[in-house]
Amino acid sequence: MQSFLREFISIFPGIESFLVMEPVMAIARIALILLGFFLCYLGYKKILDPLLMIPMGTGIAMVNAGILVMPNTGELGTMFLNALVETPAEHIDAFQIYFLQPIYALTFSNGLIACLVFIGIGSITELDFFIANPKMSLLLAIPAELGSILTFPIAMSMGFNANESASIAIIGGADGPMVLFAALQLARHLFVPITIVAYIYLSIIYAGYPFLIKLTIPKKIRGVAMDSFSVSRVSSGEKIAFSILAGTVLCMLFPVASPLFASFFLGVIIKESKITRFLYVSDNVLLSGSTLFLGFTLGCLLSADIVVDPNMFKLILLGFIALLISGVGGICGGLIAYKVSGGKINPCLGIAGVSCIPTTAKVAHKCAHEVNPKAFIMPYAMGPSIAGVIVSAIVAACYITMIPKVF
Amino acid sequence: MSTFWLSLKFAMSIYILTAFITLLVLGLVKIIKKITG
Repeated sequence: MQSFLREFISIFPGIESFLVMEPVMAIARIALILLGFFLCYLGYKKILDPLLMIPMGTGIAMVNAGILVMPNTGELGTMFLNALVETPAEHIDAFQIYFLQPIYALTFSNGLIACLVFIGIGSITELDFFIANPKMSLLLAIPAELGSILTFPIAMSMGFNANESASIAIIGGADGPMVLFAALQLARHLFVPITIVAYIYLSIIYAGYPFLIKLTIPKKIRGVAMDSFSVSRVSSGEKIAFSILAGTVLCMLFPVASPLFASFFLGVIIKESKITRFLYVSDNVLLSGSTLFLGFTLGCLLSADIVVDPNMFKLILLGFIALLISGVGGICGGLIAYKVSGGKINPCLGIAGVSCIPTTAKVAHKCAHEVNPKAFIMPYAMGPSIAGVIVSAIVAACYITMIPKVF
Repeated sequence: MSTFWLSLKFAMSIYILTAFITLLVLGLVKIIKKITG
């Protein structure tokens, strides 16, 4: 009877693989399949960002279900992708077996996927409020980067090396493509868990930061309407001139992060040049397509051996700390701006400095609007949010440039 | 000095560098606004 059962199970290699792996890994696999279902559900219900959670959850569930003993190596593997191949010859062989291998090899290994997302983000970014109020926007973005700074020594004291600590700290910049790009540059072996932790937390921000605002900003000043705060008109020419000049200067200062700067500002220039055919490609094709494959491929990279790694718990904790410190830093910046402006600036704007465009701007607006329905601060919040993208790119560039020189 | 304090010192220097570059970006915006009127 037992041999018949074994024979029967062997017809289904995905189920058979549970019997040949260690019990801990088998339990982790089942937990990941359930996590995949849960992320899909949360995405479907719009509790977490559906654009990422649905492909990521699908990937996590299916890759952990579809494990088999590979006929070519005799080891456990999947037909999705093999992240361990290194040489060009191995890649060519892998292309014939794993269906996601071309996408992984050609867009993940070199950070291209992050750049494609950045072109798309640039092409939907409204620079008007950033250029109209650059001082307020940039000065609010600086304290909101505290998480990217203070998490670095915490991670170092928890046993991570400098490269790993910087990759983890950049989660505090709340910018998914930036985290991916920096992790690929600094700690390639940790880029999957770091990026997945970052994206899951970034999806939770919309629900979590309002609590932080309510805890730290008194209700009576949350509803400042900002009517007296004027916003001047900004022409397309000004936005293009800023993009090309700022992009060129930043590329010159930090060549290692120039792909990110170039991609973001290219997207902005496409938008402001009003070249509709390019705009259609960057917004509809590049942003949507790269977000889909980013989520799905990341999900497919999350295997049981990554989850049972003891570092995973530390990453989850440090990711939380990074975003919490950035949020608190942003709010402190907002409160200082409120005081300095004599009560003209809504302190909720501080949270918008935590990049994650446009989620944090929406959070700031939502919190102000709840207290005072006449407070429409969304346009003002977009300025710090865009400044947050630029400042978090500068932080990432500083880490990537400075770490090899110092450590 | 412990790892924590050494790495905090490094992180704070990154923060100062970031703030400096951010002010440079602010200067660029101001120049562009001045030129375009």
